[in-house]
Amino acid sequence: MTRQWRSLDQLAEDPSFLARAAQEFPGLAESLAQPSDRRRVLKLMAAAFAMGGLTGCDAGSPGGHLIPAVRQPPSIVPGLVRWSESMVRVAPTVLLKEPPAITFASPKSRILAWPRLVTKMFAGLMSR
Amino acid sequence: MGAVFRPYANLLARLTLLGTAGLLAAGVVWWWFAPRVDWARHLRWTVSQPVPFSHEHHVAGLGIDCRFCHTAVEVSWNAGMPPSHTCMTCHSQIWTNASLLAPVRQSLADDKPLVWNRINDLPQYVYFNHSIHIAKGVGCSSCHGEVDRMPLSYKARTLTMQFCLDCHRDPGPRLRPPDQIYNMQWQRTADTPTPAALTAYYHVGGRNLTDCSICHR
Repeated sequence: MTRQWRSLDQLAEDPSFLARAAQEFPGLAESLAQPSDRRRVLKLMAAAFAMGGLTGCDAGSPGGHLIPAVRQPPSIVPGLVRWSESMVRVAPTVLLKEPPAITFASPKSRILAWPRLVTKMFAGLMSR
Repeated sequence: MGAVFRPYANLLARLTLLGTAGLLAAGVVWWWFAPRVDWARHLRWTVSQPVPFSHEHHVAGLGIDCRFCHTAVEVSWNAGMPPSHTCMTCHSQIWTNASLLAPVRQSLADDKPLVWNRINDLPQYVYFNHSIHIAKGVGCSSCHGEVDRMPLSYKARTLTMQFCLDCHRDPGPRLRPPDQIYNMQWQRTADTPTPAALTAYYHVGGRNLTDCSICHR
């Protein structure tokens, strides 16, 4: 059976982390403990929740970023899959030796098309 | 006991009513116009970038082909942005100490990618594929405008559903001969093959190009 975990700390069962995670909202724990502050916290949370809906009002205007690789390996074409599940099912042993340059499938969702590059980019961004 | 309302209360009531009506009218006007003007789509807005890259200089001035940097445009949905390494193939030799290019050098040195700000974007529920448009005779400038006249890049077309459908309903007149795809200044002339001839040449029209599932998958 596979075990599910949300962070490496949780996987390692770090006691200090588990205590913190048990509080559900560690950053708000102090405020939530005081009754006078409690109302304000809940109000702010409700407001945040309500305003979260506003982010849906995007008409597709430009925004966001384009993050190219620093050095692009020749075998990776932006937007094309190198691996797909069906490929692994058909010939896992072959793939372990040499990933083919051709692609069998073109995913419809963009985010799925870049498994490796996306991971790399996020890693690059987070390390900034 | 004195009068509850002073004489100016009449004026105040009228002004309040007028003001409310005015606000409502303004709201309706805004609600109707905002999605219909190009301002909301950031058309022709230049966006600040980590490096003020000039397509005008590189494309029109130096004659670099689109595909030198946007390498994946013929094979992928994504045109692809040039890796820092591509910039440095030339800029390790020329303008090696230009302060404008410091972010590119830094990117290569630190192995951290450059982060460009998007100027063209489509909503997530739209499927768009660059390669099929290139393969079927739609040139870059049909959607991106005269990029070789842009000192700083900007969004040149609205890229709305209306914009897409205008062409998908009748692609013929926008199709180009294969050697003109990357010509930013291409215009239909007397020598250009007829729309019908180009449509036949590219085998366009086998599917109904206005089917919902063509773009919304």
